[in-house]
Amino acid sequence: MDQKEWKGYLALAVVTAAAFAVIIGTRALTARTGTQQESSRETVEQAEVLNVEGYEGIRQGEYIASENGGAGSYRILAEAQGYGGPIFMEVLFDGMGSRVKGVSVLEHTETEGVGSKITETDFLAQFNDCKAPVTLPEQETPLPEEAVLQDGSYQAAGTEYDGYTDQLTMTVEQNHITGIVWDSLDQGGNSKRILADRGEYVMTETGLTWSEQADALAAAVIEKQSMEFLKVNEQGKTDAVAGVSISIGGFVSLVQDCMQQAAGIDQEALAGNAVSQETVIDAVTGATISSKAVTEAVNRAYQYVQDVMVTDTGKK
Amino acid sequence: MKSRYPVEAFVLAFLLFSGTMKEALVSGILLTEIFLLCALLYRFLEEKLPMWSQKACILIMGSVFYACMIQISFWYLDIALTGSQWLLAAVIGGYASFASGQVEGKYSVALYQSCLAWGILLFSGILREYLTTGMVNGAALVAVPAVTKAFGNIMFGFLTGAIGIAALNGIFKTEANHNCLLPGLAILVFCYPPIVMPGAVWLPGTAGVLLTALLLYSVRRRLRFSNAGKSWKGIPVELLSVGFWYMILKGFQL
Repeated sequence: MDQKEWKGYLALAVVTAAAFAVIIGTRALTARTGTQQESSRETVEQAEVLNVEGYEGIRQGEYIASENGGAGSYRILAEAQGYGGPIFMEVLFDGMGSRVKGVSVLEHTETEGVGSKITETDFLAQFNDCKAPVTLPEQETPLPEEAVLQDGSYQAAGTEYDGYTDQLTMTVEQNHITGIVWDSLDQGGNSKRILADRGEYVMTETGLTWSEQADALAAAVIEKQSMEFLKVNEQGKTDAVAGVSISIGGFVSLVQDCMQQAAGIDQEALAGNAVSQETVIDAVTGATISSKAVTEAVNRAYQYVQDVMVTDTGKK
Repeated sequence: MKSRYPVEAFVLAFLLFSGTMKEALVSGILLTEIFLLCALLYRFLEEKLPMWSQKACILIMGSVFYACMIQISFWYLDIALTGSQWLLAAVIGGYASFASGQVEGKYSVALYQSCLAWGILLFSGILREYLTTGMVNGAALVAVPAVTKAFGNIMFGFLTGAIGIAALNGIFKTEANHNCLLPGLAILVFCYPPIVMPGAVWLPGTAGVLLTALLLYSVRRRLRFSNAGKSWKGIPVELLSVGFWYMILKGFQL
């Protein structure tokens, strides 16, 4: 056997040894990960599947017993309707079912760069170890069905946004809304209605003016005598009224305010009572609907866990 | 310098096993081992068997041995191995055995070139796994905003393969002009078609094979008198071409 052959066999021996070292070394280095996977598999095997029949938005429920016999935890798969479709989430509760240990978004079809931000750590970290139920700030308390609007004239004003402050006047006669006037004043006190009618506030050359769109919105609300038909998208606009392309978030908020005044409902007291028992979560900027869906899913999971705990006293 | 490492085999390894660090690590070192083993066997059988028998023996041994070693190693490391990957591993082994004849006794050069190719394959595996999952072998590194599962798809293997082979050509001052990559690429495209049709599973793969052959032929004809860089001539450009059409067709998968 010549020298070249020896070199060949030596190279083969070296590479074979290296191959064994690489393979065994890789397995040894990932052994810790494997152990963690095995222990998590064991944890799953101890999970007790709960009955979710009859609970809207709850896909799966599990009670995971603690290894050392202490309080376990609940793992709930919940869903809620977001802007682009259903959002599926995993919500973890402590053994008492009152504190949220963590939340993760499993699946969603929200708008990329807008609603999809609900998966970001900054938003989801707010749910870690928070008291359930949860709510978003400034969520309007809905008007009760049996509320009756008292006759009179009601006014509401919003906060300044983009140099304008919204104002709204609502007239109620014979318990029905008969007039709504929505205006917006700039810092100099100039009315957007007047500016639009003069042609000094122009949005598009061919579309309705701002005042015409505001009147169309008002007419629609007067015709329907409610706000439920006005679905607001993530950009704060609606497709419910033809020709209206302006942002209507301010209009919706002020009309609801006036309606609650007319119904004699103390909105602040109601909001205060509700919020004091709830954890306030900051919504994702520009993704209110997606954020609301997440809080709705968490609250559904919370309500389910509370019901489970009441019916299964062994786990209390 | 002449290429004394199994170029086509490493190309397929880039396409198939450069998605994660573990796969790249294991497949690369086993490929180097098989290549050297086949080279030694080639010398051993050179004067003992007729040429056709010698080549057939080495081809069968290389294919089967590499496929089995991959299967055992992947099982040992808890890495999932599909039937298509196992079949293509056998093809890689075949290419390695086919290229073992060009070692011509220069084992040190063959080892050096193969190890460098393995190193670049490993680097590709680390990079792609990091861009796919934000982690390497389960270890979270620096957060990167552009993490997407698309980097783990085979279409990016074409890109990393092209860059890897071009880099190796540049280092070794070689060209990969004349190659028999088509059969291996055709099998790969048949097993991993860019578009999947549940009703006619065989159709996209068959169409893909024909398209690959057509594309490679037209690319070689067109670039014959082109001014592409020396390192990029041959396999790198062909890989890029096939990779781009694969990517384009993948976009039509709804």
